[in-house]
Amino acid sequence: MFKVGVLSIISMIFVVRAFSYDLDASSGSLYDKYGGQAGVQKIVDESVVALLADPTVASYYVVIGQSGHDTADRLKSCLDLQFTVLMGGLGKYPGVSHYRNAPKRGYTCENMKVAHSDLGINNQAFDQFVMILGSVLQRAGVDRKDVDILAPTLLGLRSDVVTKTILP
Amino acid sequence: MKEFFRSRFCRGVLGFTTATLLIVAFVHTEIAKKLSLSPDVLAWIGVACPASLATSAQVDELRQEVLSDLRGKEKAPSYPALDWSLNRANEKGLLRQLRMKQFDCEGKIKSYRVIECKRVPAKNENIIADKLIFVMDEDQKLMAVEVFYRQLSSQYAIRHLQKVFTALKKQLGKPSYQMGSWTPDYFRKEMNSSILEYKYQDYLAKVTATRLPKKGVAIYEQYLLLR
Repeated sequence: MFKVGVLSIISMIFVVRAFSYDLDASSGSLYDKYGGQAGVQKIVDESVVALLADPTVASYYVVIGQSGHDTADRLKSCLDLQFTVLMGGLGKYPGVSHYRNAPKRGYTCENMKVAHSDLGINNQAFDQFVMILGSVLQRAGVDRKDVDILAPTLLGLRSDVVTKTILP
Repeated sequence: MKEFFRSRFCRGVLGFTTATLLIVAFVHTEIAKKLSLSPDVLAWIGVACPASLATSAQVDELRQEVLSDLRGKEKAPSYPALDWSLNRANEKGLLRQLRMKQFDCEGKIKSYRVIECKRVPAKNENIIADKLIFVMDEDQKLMAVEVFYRQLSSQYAIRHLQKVFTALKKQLGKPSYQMGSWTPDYFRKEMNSSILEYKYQDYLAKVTATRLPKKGVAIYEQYLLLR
C-alpha cells in the first residue's frame, strides 16, 4: 500500500492546496529565478530519479502506461504544470498541460483530491516524500527563503492526499 | 446447440462474465475514484491493482533507466547496510536474526520479496524506527535495506546521524556528497534537510534528515545495491 501511495504523493507534492488557482508569470517569480521550464523539469526529473532508486517504490511505476494508469509522459507533464504554477509561472492547475511530449490537446491534469482518492496514502508515506522533495529542492540550489515560500503549500496538501491514518 | 445456450449453466457463466466485466470497467471510471474505491476494496473483490502484480524483473528493468544518474565511478569496497551486508545476507538467515531480536516483522511479496518490520528500536539508542524494510533479489540475497525514523528531537537525531556516519566512514571512508549540517540550530529551522551520500558504481548509501514542521526530525536511510 505504501508503494501505491508513493506515486500518488509524487504527483501531488508540488501542487497548491487550493484546487484551482491561476498565477501570471512575472519577472521576479521563483519560476524565472530558477531557470523557467528547464529548471522545473530538472526538479521534476530529479524527484522521479530519487523515488525510482527505491526498489519498494519503483514497483508502482512499472504499471505506468498500462490501462487505467498514467503514462510516464503524462505524469511528468502534469508535475511540470504543477511546479510551474507553484513557482509563479504561467498556467492553471488543475488544467491542461502541454509540457513534455503532450498530444496537441494536451494532458488533462485532475485535482489532487480526486487523483489520490484511491491510493491509500498514509501520513508516513507523505512525510517521506516531503523529505525527498524538500531535499531535491535544496540540492537543486533553491534558496532557503524560497523553500519557506513553497513549503506551506506542499505541506498543506496533506489533508487532500492522505487517506489512511494508521500512523500519526 | 440451442439447448446448450438456454441451459442454466451457460446463462450462469454469461451472467458472471458480464458482471465481472462491468465491475472491472466501473472501477476504472472517474465516478469510482470519486467514491474513494480504495485498492483494499479492489483487492477484496478480486481486482488487484497491476502495481502489486509487477515482477521484480520488470521493476529492475525500469530502475535501470535511472540508476545511471545515481552511480559513482568506482566499485564499492563493501556493501554495508546497518548490521548487515548487501549481497551476502540471505532471507532465511535474516528472518532467523530478526526473530531472535524479537522484531515485529512480516514477509511480503511486493514485486520483490520484502521483509517489513515495524517499531524497531535502534541499537544502543533510545529511538524507534517507524519501519525497517529488507528487499531481497531473485536469489533471495539482500539487495536493499531502508529505515525510516520520525518525530525525533534534534538531539537524538544528531546523535543517530553521527553514529551512522561513523559506521559508514569506518567501512567506506570519505562520503561522496554532504549537504546541510548536523547542529541543533540547523534542525530548528523547519524543512531544513541534510544529506549524506556514498555513491559507487554498484552501491548507494543515502541518509536524508529533515526537520518536518511540528513533527520533529525525520531520518530516511537507504542502502541499495546498484546492479
